[in-house]
Amino acid sequence: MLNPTSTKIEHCIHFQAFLTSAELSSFLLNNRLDWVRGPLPQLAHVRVIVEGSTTAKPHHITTLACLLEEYRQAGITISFEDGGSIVYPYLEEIGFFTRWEPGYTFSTESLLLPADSRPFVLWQVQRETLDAYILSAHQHYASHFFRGKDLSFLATYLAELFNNVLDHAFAGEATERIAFAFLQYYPSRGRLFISVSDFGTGIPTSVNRFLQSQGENPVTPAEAVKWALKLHSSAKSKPHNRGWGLHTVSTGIALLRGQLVIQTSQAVYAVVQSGQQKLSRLPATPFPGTTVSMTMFYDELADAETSVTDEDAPLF
Amino acid sequence: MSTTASTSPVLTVLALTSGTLSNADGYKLLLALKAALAEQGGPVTLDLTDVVSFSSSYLNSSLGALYEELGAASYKRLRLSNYKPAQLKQLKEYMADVAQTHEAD
Repeated sequence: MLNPTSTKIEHCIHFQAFLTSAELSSFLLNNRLDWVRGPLPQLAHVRVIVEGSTTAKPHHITTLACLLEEYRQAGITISFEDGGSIVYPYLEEIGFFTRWEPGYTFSTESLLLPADSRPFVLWQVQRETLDAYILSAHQHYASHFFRGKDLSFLATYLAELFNNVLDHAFAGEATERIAFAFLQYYPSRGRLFISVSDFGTGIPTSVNRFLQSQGENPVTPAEAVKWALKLHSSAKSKPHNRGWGLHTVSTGIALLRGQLVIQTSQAVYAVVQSGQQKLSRLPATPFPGTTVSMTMFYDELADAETSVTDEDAPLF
Repeated sequence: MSTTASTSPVLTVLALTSGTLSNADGYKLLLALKAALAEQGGPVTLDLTDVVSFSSSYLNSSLGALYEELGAASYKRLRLSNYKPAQLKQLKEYMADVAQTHEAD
Protein backbone atom coordinates (compact mmCIF):
# COMPACT_ATOMS: atom_id res chain seq x y z
CA MET A 1 0.00 0.00 0.00
CA LEU A 2 1.28 3.46 -0.83
CA ASN A 3 2.08 5.88 1.93
CA PRO A 4 -1.03 7.90 2.90
CA THR A 5 0.96 11.14 2.67
CA SER A 6 1.48 10.64 -1.08
CA THR A 7 -0.56 12.71 -3.53
CA LYS A 8 -1.28 12.24 -7.24
CA ILE A 9 1.94 13.86 -8.36
CA GLU A 10 4.06 13.41 -5.26
CA HIS A 11 5.21 10.33 -3.37
CA CYS A 12 6.55 10.36 0.15
CA ILE A 13 9.32 7.95 1.13
CA HIS A 14 9.91 7.46 4.84
CA PHE A 15 13.49 6.26 5.10
CA GLN A 16 15.28 4.97 8.15
CA ALA A 17 18.22 2.66 8.83
CA PHE A 18 16.21 -0.53 9.06
CA LEU A 19 17.78 -3.20 11.23
CA THR A 20 16.62 -6.39 9.51
CA SER A 21 16.76 -7.63 5.93
CA ALA A 22 12.99 -8.14 5.93
CA GLU A 23 12.32 -4.53 7.04
CA LEU A 24 14.77 -3.07 4.53
CA SER A 25 13.50 -5.28 1.75
CA SER A 26 9.89 -4.38 2.51
CA PHE A 27 10.77 -0.67 2.50
CA LEU A 28 12.51 -0.97 -0.87
CA LEU A 29 9.75 -3.02 -2.49
CA ASN A 30 7.01 -0.66 -1.31
CA ASN A 31 8.86 2.35 -2.70
CA ARG A 32 10.19 1.09 -6.03
CA LEU A 33 9.28 3.28 -8.94
CA ASP A 34 7.26 0.66 -10.84
CA TRP A 35 5.18 -0.13 -7.77
CA VAL A 36 4.60 3.52 -6.87
CA ARG A 37 3.88 4.73 -10.38
CA GLY A 38 1.12 2.18 -10.94
CA PRO A 39 -1.46 4.11 -8.94
CA LEU A 40 0.37 7.45 -9.52
CA PRO A 41 1.01 7.64 -13.28
CA GLN A 42 1.50 11.42 -13.11
CA LEU A 43 4.17 11.17 -10.42
CA ALA A 44 6.60 14.10 -10.71
CA HIS A 45 8.25 14.49 -7.31
CA VAL A 46 9.48 12.38 -4.44
CA ARG A 47 9.92 13.64 -0.89
CA VAL A 48 12.33 11.58 1.17
CA ILE A 49 11.76 12.02 4.90
CA VAL A 50 14.73 10.75 6.89
CA GLU A 51 13.60 9.27 10.19
CA GLY A 52 14.62 6.85 12.92
CA SER A 53 17.13 6.64 15.71
CA THR A 54 19.56 4.05 14.36
CA THR A 55 22.75 4.89 12.48
CA ALA A 56 22.97 4.14 8.78
CA LYS A 57 25.45 1.57 7.50
CA PRO A 58 26.78 1.53 3.92
CA HIS A 59 24.18 -0.99 2.77
CA HIS A 60 21.44 1.45 3.76
CA ILE A 61 23.15 4.11 1.67
CA THR A 62 23.69 1.94 -1.42
CA THR A 63 20.18 0.47 -1.44
CA LEU A 64 18.58 3.90 -0.97
CA ALA A 65 20.75 5.20 -3.82
CA CYS A 66 19.53 2.39 -6.12
CA LEU A 67 15.95 3.17 -5.14
CA LEU A 68 16.29 6.90 -5.84
CA GLU A 69 18.26 6.43 -9.05
CA GLU A 70 15.20 4.77 -10.61
CA TYR A 71 13.25 7.97 -9.94
CA ARG A 72 16.05 10.23 -11.13
CA GLN A 73 16.37 8.35 -14.40
CA ALA A 74 12.62 8.71 -14.92
CA GLY A 75 12.95 12.49 -14.63
CA ILE A 76 11.23 12.64 -11.23
CA THR A 77 12.65 15.26 -8.88
CA ILE A 78 13.76 14.32 -5.37
CA SER A 79 13.88 16.37 -2.17
CA PHE A 80 14.96 15.47 1.36
CA GLU A 81 13.57 16.45 4.75
CA ASP A 82 14.92 15.92 8.24
CA GLY A 83 12.41 13.97 10.26
CA GLY A 84 14.49 14.34 13.40
CA SER A 85 16.81 11.49 12.56
CA ILE A 86 20.49 11.11 13.41
CA VAL A 87 20.95 9.83 9.85
CA TYR A 88 20.08 13.14 8.17
CA PRO A 89 23.29 14.99 9.20
CA TYR A 90 25.29 11.93 8.19
CA LEU A 91 23.73 11.89 4.72
CA GLU A 92 24.55 15.57 4.47
CA GLU A 93 28.16 14.93 5.54
CA ILE A 94 28.73 12.27 2.89
CA GLY A 95 27.27 14.48 0.15
CA PHE A 96 24.32 12.17 -0.45
CA PHE A 97 21.83 14.94 -1.14
CA THR A 98 24.04 16.60 -3.74
CA ARG A 99 23.96 13.36 -5.76
CA TRP A 100 20.24 13.87 -6.51
CA GLU A 101 20.30 17.52 -7.45
CA PRO A 102 19.29 18.27 -11.05
CA GLY A 103 22.30 18.42 -13.36
CA TYR A 104 24.57 16.35 -11.12
CA THR A 105 27.41 14.60 -12.97
CA PHE A 106 30.11 12.39 -11.51
CA SER A 107 33.69 13.59 -11.75
CA THR A 108 36.75 11.51 -10.89
CA GLU A 109 38.09 14.63 -9.14
CA SER A 110 35.57 13.86 -6.39
CA LEU A 111 37.54 10.71 -5.61
CA LEU A 112 40.33 12.75 -4.03
CA LEU A 113 39.16 13.23 -0.45
CA PRO A 114 40.65 15.00 2.58
CA ALA A 115 43.00 12.71 4.49
CA ASP A 116 40.69 12.48 7.49
CA SER A 117 37.59 11.49 5.52
CA ARG A 118 36.28 8.23 6.95
CA PRO A 119 33.51 7.70 4.39
CA PHE A 120 34.49 7.12 0.77
CA VAL A 121 32.48 8.45 -2.18
CA LEU A 122 29.07 7.01 -3.07
CA TRP A 123 29.64 5.88 -6.66
CA GLN A 124 27.37 4.52 -9.35
CA VAL A 125 29.01 1.38 -10.74
CA GLN A 126 30.12 1.92 -14.32
CA ARG A 127 32.88 0.33 -16.35
CA GLU A 128 34.45 3.62 -17.44
CA THR A 129 35.41 4.80 -13.96
CA LEU A 130 35.77 1.42 -12.25
CA ASP A 131 39.58 1.41 -12.05
CA ALA A 132 39.68 5.00 -10.82
CA TYR A 133 37.17 4.33 -8.05
CA ILE A 134 38.85 1.15 -6.83
CA LEU A 135 42.37 2.49 -6.87
CA SER A 136 41.31 5.77 -5.23
CA ALA A 137 39.48 3.94 -2.44
CA HIS A 138 42.48 1.67 -1.89
CA GLN A 139 44.88 4.60 -1.93
CA HIS A 140 42.74 6.65 0.46
CA TYR A 141 42.40 4.01 3.15
CA ALA A 142 45.89 2.53 2.72
CA SER A 143 47.52 5.96 3.04
CA HIS A 144 45.47 7.47 5.82
CA PHE A 145 43.96 4.75 8.00
CA PHE A 146 45.75 1.45 7.30
CA ARG A 147 49.43 2.45 7.03
CA GLY A 148 51.65 -0.62 7.29
CA LYS A 149 48.73 -2.99 6.68
CA ASP A 150 48.14 -5.10 3.57
CA LEU A 151 45.00 -3.61 2.04
CA SER A 152 45.44 -5.17 -1.41
CA PHE A 153 42.38 -7.35 -0.79
CA LEU A 154 40.21 -4.23 -0.93
CA ALA A 155 41.03 -3.60 -4.59
CA THR A 156 40.54 -7.27 -5.46
CA TYR A 157 37.20 -7.63 -3.69
CA LEU A 158 35.78 -4.40 -5.06
CA ALA A 159 36.81 -5.45 -8.56
CA GLU A 160 35.20 -8.89 -8.13
CA LEU A 161 31.94 -7.34 -6.95
CA PHE A 162 31.85 -4.66 -9.65
CA ASN A 163 32.72 -7.14 -12.41
CA ASN A 164 29.96 -9.41 -11.11
CA VAL A 165 27.49 -6.52 -11.28
CA LEU A 166 28.55 -5.63 -14.82
CA ASP A 167 28.73 -9.23 -16.09
CA HIS A 168 25.90 -11.01 -14.29
CA ALA A 169 23.50 -8.79 -12.38
CA PHE A 170 21.34 -7.60 -15.23
CA ALA A 171 19.54 -9.27 -18.09
CA GLY A 172 21.48 -8.96 -21.34
CA GLU A 173 18.93 -6.61 -22.84
CA ALA A 174 18.82 -4.28 -19.81
CA THR A 175 19.50 -0.66 -20.74
CA GLU A 176 19.55 0.84 -17.26
CA ARG A 177 22.00 -0.84 -14.91
CA ILE A 178 21.54 0.62 -11.47
CA ALA A 179 24.24 -0.24 -8.93
CA PHE A 180 26.09 1.72 -6.24
CA ALA A 181 29.07 1.31 -3.93
CA PHE A 182 30.00 3.06 -0.71
CA LEU A 183 32.63 2.55 2.01
CA GLN A 184 32.90 3.79 5.57
CA TYR A 185 35.67 3.39 8.14
CA TYR A 186 34.97 3.51 11.89
CA PRO A 187 38.31 4.05 13.65
CA SER A 188 37.00 3.53 17.19
CA ARG A 189 36.70 -0.22 16.61
CA GLY A 190 38.86 -0.38 13.49
CA ARG A 191 36.05 -1.52 11.20
CA LEU A 192 35.89 -0.90 7.45
CA PHE A 193 32.40 -1.33 6.00
CA ILE A 194 31.97 -1.92 2.27
CA SER A 195 28.68 -2.23 0.45
CA VAL A 196 27.80 -2.84 -3.20
CA SER A 197 24.13 -2.91 -4.24
CA ASP A 198 22.46 -3.49 -7.56
CA PHE A 199 18.83 -3.56 -8.61
CA GLY A 200 19.41 -6.33 -11.12
CA THR A 201 17.77 -9.71 -11.40
CA GLY A 202 19.31 -11.13 -8.22
CA ILE A 203 21.65 -14.11 -7.91
CA PRO A 204 18.93 -16.82 -7.95
CA THR A 205 17.45 -15.61 -11.23
CA SER A 206 20.88 -15.19 -12.80
CA VAL A 207 22.01 -18.66 -11.71
CA ASN A 208 18.79 -20.36 -12.78
CA ARG A 209 18.86 -18.63 -16.15
CA PHE A 210 22.31 -20.12 -16.68
CA LEU A 211 21.41 -23.59 -15.36
CA GLN A 212 18.34 -23.77 -17.60
CA SER A 213 20.41 -22.67 -20.59
CA GLN A 214 22.60 -25.71 -19.86
CA GLY A 215 19.55 -28.01 -19.72
CA GLU A 216 19.70 -28.31 -15.94
CA ASN A 217 16.85 -27.95 -13.46
CA PRO A 218 16.42 -24.68 -11.57
CA VAL A 219 17.39 -24.56 -7.90
CA THR A 220 15.98 -22.77 -4.86
CA PRO A 221 17.21 -19.24 -4.04
CA ALA A 222 19.35 -20.56 -1.17
CA GLU A 223 20.87 -23.26 -3.36
CA ALA A 224 21.53 -20.69 -6.07
CA VAL A 225 23.53 -18.51 -3.66
CA LYS A 226 25.55 -21.56 -2.57
CA TRP A 227 26.15 -22.40 -6.23
CA ALA A 228 27.39 -18.87 -6.98
CA LEU A 229 29.86 -19.02 -4.07
CA LYS A 230 31.51 -22.23 -5.23
CA LEU A 231 34.80 -22.18 -7.14
CA HIS A 232 34.32 -22.65 -10.88
CA SER A 233 30.65 -21.72 -10.73
CA SER A 234 29.93 -18.89 -13.11
CA ALA A 235 26.85 -17.81 -15.00
CA LYS A 236 29.04 -17.02 -18.02
CA SER A 237 31.22 -19.32 -20.04
CA LYS A 238 35.02 -19.54 -20.13
CA PRO A 239 37.51 -18.00 -20.60
CA HIS A 240 36.42 -14.65 -19.25
CA ASN A 241 34.48 -16.02 -16.31
CA ARG A 242 35.95 -19.03 -14.63
CA GLY A 243 33.91 -18.68 -11.45
CA TRP A 244 36.52 -17.17 -9.14
CA GLY A 245 34.71 -13.92 -8.30
CA LEU A 246 32.35 -14.51 -5.38
CA HIS A 247 34.44 -17.50 -4.30
CA THR A 248 37.48 -15.21 -4.00
CA VAL A 249 35.52 -12.72 -1.93
CA SER A 250 33.86 -15.20 0.43
CA THR A 251 36.93 -17.34 1.12
CA GLY A 252 39.18 -14.29 1.38
CA ILE A 253 36.93 -12.62 3.94
CA ALA A 254 36.83 -15.80 6.00
CA LEU A 255 40.67 -15.92 5.99
CA LEU A 256 40.84 -12.28 7.11
CA ARG A 257 38.23 -12.98 9.83
CA GLY A 258 35.90 -10.41 8.34
CA GLN A 259 32.14 -10.51 7.91
CA LEU A 260 30.08 -10.94 4.76
CA VAL A 261 26.35 -10.59 4.14
CA ILE A 262 24.71 -11.20 0.76
CA GLN A 263 21.05 -10.18 0.49
CA THR A 264 19.48 -11.27 -2.77
CA SER A 265 15.96 -12.21 -3.73
CA GLN A 266 14.63 -14.68 -1.17
CA ALA A 267 17.98 -15.54 0.39
CA VAL A 268 20.28 -13.96 2.94
CA TYR A 269 23.76 -15.46 3.29
CA ALA A 270 26.04 -14.42 6.12
CA VAL A 271 29.55 -15.29 7.27
CA VAL A 272 30.38 -14.00 10.74
CA GLN A 273 33.84 -13.39 12.22
CA SER A 274 34.11 -16.88 13.69
CA GLY A 275 33.73 -18.25 10.16
CA GLN A 276 30.27 -19.62 10.84
CA GLN A 277 27.99 -19.44 7.79
CA LYS A 278 24.26 -18.88 7.87
CA LEU A 279 21.81 -19.05 5.00
CA SER A 280 18.29 -17.85 5.72
CA ARG A 281 15.17 -17.23 3.65
CA LEU A 282 13.16 -14.10 2.97
CA PRO A 283 10.00 -15.75 1.68
CA ALA A 284 7.56 -12.85 1.96
CA THR A 285 9.75 -9.93 0.88
CA PRO A 286 12.29 -10.86 -1.81
CA PHE A 287 15.22 -8.48 -1.63
CA PRO A 288 15.53 -6.35 -4.79
CA GLY A 289 18.66 -7.23 -6.77
CA THR A 290 21.74 -8.08 -4.76
CA THR A 291 23.45 -6.27 -1.91
CA VAL A 292 26.85 -7.47 -0.74
CA SER A 293 28.10 -6.04 2.56
CA MET A 294 31.55 -6.70 3.96
CA THR A 295 33.17 -5.69 7.23
CA MET A 296 36.93 -5.90 7.68
CA PHE A 297 38.72 -5.42 11.00
CA TYR A 298 41.97 -3.47 11.28
CA ASP A 299 43.45 -5.79 13.90
CA GLU A 300 42.93 -8.87 11.71
CA LEU A 301 44.79 -7.56 8.67
CA ALA A 302 48.30 -8.73 7.86
CA ASP A 303 51.21 -6.32 7.69
CA ALA A 304 52.04 -4.94 4.24
CA GLU A 305 54.69 -6.91 2.35
CA THR A 306 57.75 -5.42 0.70
CA SER A 307 58.41 -6.21 -2.94
CA VAL A 308 61.01 -8.75 -3.99
CA THR A 309 63.18 -6.71 -6.32
CA ASP A 310 66.42 -8.64 -6.55
CA GLU A 311 65.35 -11.91 -8.15
CA ASP A 312 62.90 -13.39 -10.63
CA ALA A 313 60.66 -16.32 -9.82
CA PRO A 314 59.14 -19.00 -12.03
CA LEU A 315 55.36 -19.05 -12.12
CA PHE A 316 54.63 -22.64 -13.11
CA MET B 1 62.33 -21.78 -4.92
CA SER B 2 64.73 -21.60 -7.85
CA THR B 3 65.57 -18.17 -9.14
CA THR B 4 67.58 -16.64 -11.96
CA ALA B 5 68.68 -13.17 -12.95
CA SER B 6 66.40 -11.54 -15.54
CA THR B 7 67.85 -11.74 -19.08
CA SER B 8 64.54 -12.38 -20.85
CA PRO B 9 62.07 -9.92 -22.40
CA VAL B 10 60.41 -7.99 -19.59
CA LEU B 11 56.78 -6.88 -19.76
CA THR B 12 56.09 -4.15 -17.22
CA VAL B 13 52.44 -4.77 -16.53
CA LEU B 14 51.38 -1.22 -15.66
CA ALA B 15 53.13 0.13 -18.73
CA LEU B 16 50.97 -2.17 -20.87
CA THR B 17 47.61 -1.65 -19.19
CA SER B 18 46.05 1.11 -17.12
CA GLY B 19 44.94 -1.38 -14.48
CA THR B 20 44.87 -5.02 -13.47
CA LEU B 21 41.20 -5.35 -12.64
CA SER B 22 39.19 -5.60 -15.87
CA ASN B 23 38.70 -8.07 -18.73
CA ALA B 24 39.78 -5.40 -21.20
CA ASP B 25 43.14 -4.85 -19.50
CA GLY B 26 43.64 -8.59 -19.15
CA TYR B 27 43.15 -8.96 -22.88
CA LYS B 28 45.84 -6.32 -23.52
CA LEU B 29 48.27 -8.29 -21.40
CA LEU B 30 47.35 -11.47 -23.28
CA LEU B 31 48.24 -9.85 -26.59
CA ALA B 32 51.57 -8.59 -25.23
CA LEU B 33 52.38 -12.00 -23.74
CA LYS B 34 51.63 -13.82 -26.98
CA ALA B 35 53.81 -11.41 -28.95
CA ALA B 36 56.71 -11.70 -26.49
CA LEU B 37 56.49 -15.49 -26.45
CA ALA B 38 56.31 -15.69 -30.23
CA GLU B 39 59.25 -13.44 -30.99
CA GLN B 40 61.81 -15.56 -29.13
CA GLY B 41 62.02 -18.99 -27.60
CA GLY B 42 63.12 -18.16 -24.08
CA PRO B 43 61.38 -17.01 -20.90
CA VAL B 44 59.24 -13.88 -20.60
CA THR B 45 59.23 -11.90 -17.36
CA LEU B 46 56.24 -10.02 -15.96
CA ASP B 47 57.32 -6.99 -13.92
CA LEU B 48 54.71 -6.17 -11.25
CA THR B 49 56.09 -2.81 -10.12
CA ASP B 50 53.28 -0.78 -8.46
CA VAL B 51 50.62 -3.43 -9.14
CA VAL B 52 48.22 -3.43 -6.16
CA SER B 53 46.25 -6.58 -6.92
CA PHE B 54 44.54 -8.61 -9.64
CA SER B 55 40.90 -9.42 -10.22
CA SER B 56 39.77 -12.82 -11.46
CA SER B 57 38.39 -11.18 -14.61
CA TYR B 58 41.83 -9.78 -15.42
CA LEU B 59 43.53 -13.12 -14.80
CA ASN B 60 40.92 -15.05 -16.79
CA SER B 61 41.37 -12.78 -19.81
CA SER B 62 45.17 -12.88 -19.65
CA LEU B 63 46.72 -15.97 -18.07
CA GLY B 64 43.56 -18.09 -18.33
CA ALA B 65 43.17 -17.32 -22.02
CA LEU B 66 46.92 -17.82 -22.60
CA TYR B 67 46.69 -21.41 -21.40
CA GLU B 68 43.67 -22.04 -23.59
CA GLU B 69 45.52 -20.76 -26.65
CA LEU B 70 49.10 -21.92 -26.07
CA GLY B 71 48.89 -24.57 -23.35
CA ALA B 72 51.22 -25.51 -20.50
CA ALA B 73 54.36 -24.78 -22.52
CA SER B 74 53.58 -21.06 -22.39
CA TYR B 75 53.17 -21.12 -18.59
CA LYS B 76 56.56 -22.80 -18.17
CA ARG B 77 58.23 -19.81 -19.84
CA LEU B 78 56.70 -17.16 -17.55
CA ARG B 79 58.62 -15.52 -14.72
CA LEU B 80 57.84 -12.74 -12.26
CA SER B 81 59.89 -9.77 -11.07
CA ASN B 82 59.29 -6.90 -8.63
CA TYR B 83 56.49 -8.80 -6.97
CA LYS B 84 55.12 -9.18 -3.48
CA PRO B 85 55.23 -12.73 -2.10
CA ALA B 86 51.41 -12.81 -1.85
CA GLN B 87 51.15 -11.88 -5.54
CA LEU B 88 53.49 -14.70 -6.51
CA LYS B 89 51.41 -17.11 -4.44
CA GLN B 90 48.14 -15.89 -5.97
CA LEU B 91 49.40 -16.20 -9.55
CA LYS B 92 50.94 -19.63 -8.97
CA GLU B 93 47.72 -20.91 -7.42
CA TYR B 94 45.65 -19.46 -10.22
CA MET B 95 47.83 -20.95 -12.95
CA ALA B 96 47.96 -24.35 -11.26
CA ASP B 97 44.16 -24.30 -11.06
CA VAL B 98 43.82 -23.37 -14.73
CA ALA B 99 46.09 -26.25 -15.74
CA GLN B 100 44.32 -28.70 -13.47
CA THR B 101 40.89 -27.65 -14.74
CA HIS B 102 42.02 -28.14 -18.32
CA GLU B 103 43.36 -31.58 -17.56
CA ALA B 104 40.05 -32.48 -15.92
CA ASP B 105 38.18 -31.26 -19.01
